[in-house]
Amino acid sequence: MSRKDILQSLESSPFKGPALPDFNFGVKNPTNLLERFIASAKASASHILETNDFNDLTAKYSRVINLSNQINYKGLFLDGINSPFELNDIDLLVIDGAFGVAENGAIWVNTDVLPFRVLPFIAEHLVICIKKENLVANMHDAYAKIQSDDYGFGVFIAGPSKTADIEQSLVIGAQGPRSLGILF
Amino acid sequence: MTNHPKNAEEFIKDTDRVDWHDAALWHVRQKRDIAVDTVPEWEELRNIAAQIKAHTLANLRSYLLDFEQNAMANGVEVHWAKDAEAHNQIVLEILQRNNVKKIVKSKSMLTEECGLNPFLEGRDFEITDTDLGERIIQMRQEPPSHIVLPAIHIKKEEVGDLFRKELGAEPGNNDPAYLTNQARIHLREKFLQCDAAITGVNFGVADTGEVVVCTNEGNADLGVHLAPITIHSMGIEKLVPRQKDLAVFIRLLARSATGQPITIYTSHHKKTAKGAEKHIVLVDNGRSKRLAMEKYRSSLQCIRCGACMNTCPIYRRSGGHSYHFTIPGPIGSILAPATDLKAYSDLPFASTLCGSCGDVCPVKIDIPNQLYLWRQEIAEAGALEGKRKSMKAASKLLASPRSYRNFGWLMRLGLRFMPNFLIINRYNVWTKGRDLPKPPKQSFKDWYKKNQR
Repeated sequence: MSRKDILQSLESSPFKGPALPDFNFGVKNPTNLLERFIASAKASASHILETNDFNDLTAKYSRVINLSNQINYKGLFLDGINSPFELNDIDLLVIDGAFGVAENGAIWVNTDVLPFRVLPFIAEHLVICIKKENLVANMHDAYAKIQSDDYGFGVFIAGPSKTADIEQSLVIGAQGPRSLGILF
Repeated sequence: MTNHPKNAEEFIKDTDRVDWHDAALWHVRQKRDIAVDTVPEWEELRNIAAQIKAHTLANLRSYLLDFEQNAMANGVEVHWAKDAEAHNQIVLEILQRNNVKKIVKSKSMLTEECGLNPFLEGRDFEITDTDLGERIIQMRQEPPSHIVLPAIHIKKEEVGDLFRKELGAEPGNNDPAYLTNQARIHLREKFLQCDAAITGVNFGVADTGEVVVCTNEGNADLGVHLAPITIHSMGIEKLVPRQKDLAVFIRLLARSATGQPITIYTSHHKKTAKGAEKHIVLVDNGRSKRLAMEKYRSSLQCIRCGACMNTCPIYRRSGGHSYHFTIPGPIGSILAPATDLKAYSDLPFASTLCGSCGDVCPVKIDIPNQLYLWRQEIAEAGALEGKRKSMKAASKLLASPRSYRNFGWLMRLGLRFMPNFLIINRYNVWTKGRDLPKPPKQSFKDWYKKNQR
């Protein structure tokens, strides 16, 4: 049996390694978080939306689903949908993000609050709402926050889906959302 | 027998293509440098990452058991596979038990290593690679030539031709945005019909039992969250002890790989979704054996960023396929000989030992040193047929100052008058694609005698 074999093989030639290092790269009193977050997000092809832009978006698309608690917009409902396979025709999905990371423009999304985990990946366009006070400096601060987050599936989303697999040419909108809007 | 210089010869016939390949990868290396320079604590992160990995490997048994226990508590089924065959059998059994016909797979070098695709295709499954680059090479029936940029060797015109044939794309349109969209439409159809999803794993976390998968396209997540059955195939060396360790590795990985500060999606798969089934297959396939090899142990620290390939002057000019091993480039060249010394005895020599791979490695694997150690081992094992005789002759010559002096004089004179065919011929590989320098009129020793005060 493989399990026994592998464990035995690991046991058979023990060696000493270094101690598990501790580290602390968290930033105590971060400054300009908003400015830095916006710069990182834009560099990753995310759009920072003003209320006007958001209204334009919702006017432009017919099948809009709003699952955010932060904004007041009534879109279509997901009532009666039992399978993720039925979600293919969403034009625009609006959800809440828990917090943003200034060093890379990523936003933590805990999908447990969503009816289907696939939603932020299958929608044609995605808007994530976050609060300006919910920003951290770097990934160390981010994981310090996540530690207390109980999630089944959680994801850092750092922009619209993209690829450079054809001759290193950057193409936005590979397989997931074609655009990511961030609304504060 | 296939070997690197022979394969590379084929690749470098098209010099324009070599220049293009070289420049494309160097561009990625430059993007890496820019990204790295924005992190003042970069070197400290590298040190800590190397320590975390070395510590985990030294205690792998107990961390694997922790991981198994925590993953099971999350509702995940954990399997153990001692080799590629066991891995493929476990996957097959899961698929058959659930009546799966159509599988979507995201990028995974491990399933490549295990030969999962041909194994399943031979048993009438439809398996679709969903990463764009992987889909391109799957259609061309080729292995990936790079671990992060699998189709880096292919030009857009070739992709255009391929998509016309396979997907009915319009003739003459080779715009990457257009072609990507054609693939998106085709792959979305595959996603909407899938019965199961298979992914690789970037990191497994012992204290939470979760697995982390990093992608830019979103393909892994579309598969996992649509399909009722998910299988994550994971090498046993992918573990980190604590969730907070992820911060170190996530900061290093994408910056080293493509110069991005983070991949677009960094997905943390912890608990099984309602109504779904999740499996993790822990694969050894030679890893525990390598762990027992003290000199080469640290090669298991690799996080598969591909930075060593992008920076390697040999890789850039010879292409990934020349390495005839699942993982090409410098890291592949130190991984391969441990699996079969004879079959891969050429690979540790596919290097100038310039050291650049070691300098960019985010987990500080001493790749150049291990290349050198493998060379010694290969020489001792007598796997260097051609070079042995000439090296012996050279060693004799160089050991005697007198014969060295005489030979030097002879060559300085001879090279001036010898006809070209005597110097540039198939026995002298040095003159392949380059001329010998003009010999000096006198030796350094003579010059020194004359000019010393």
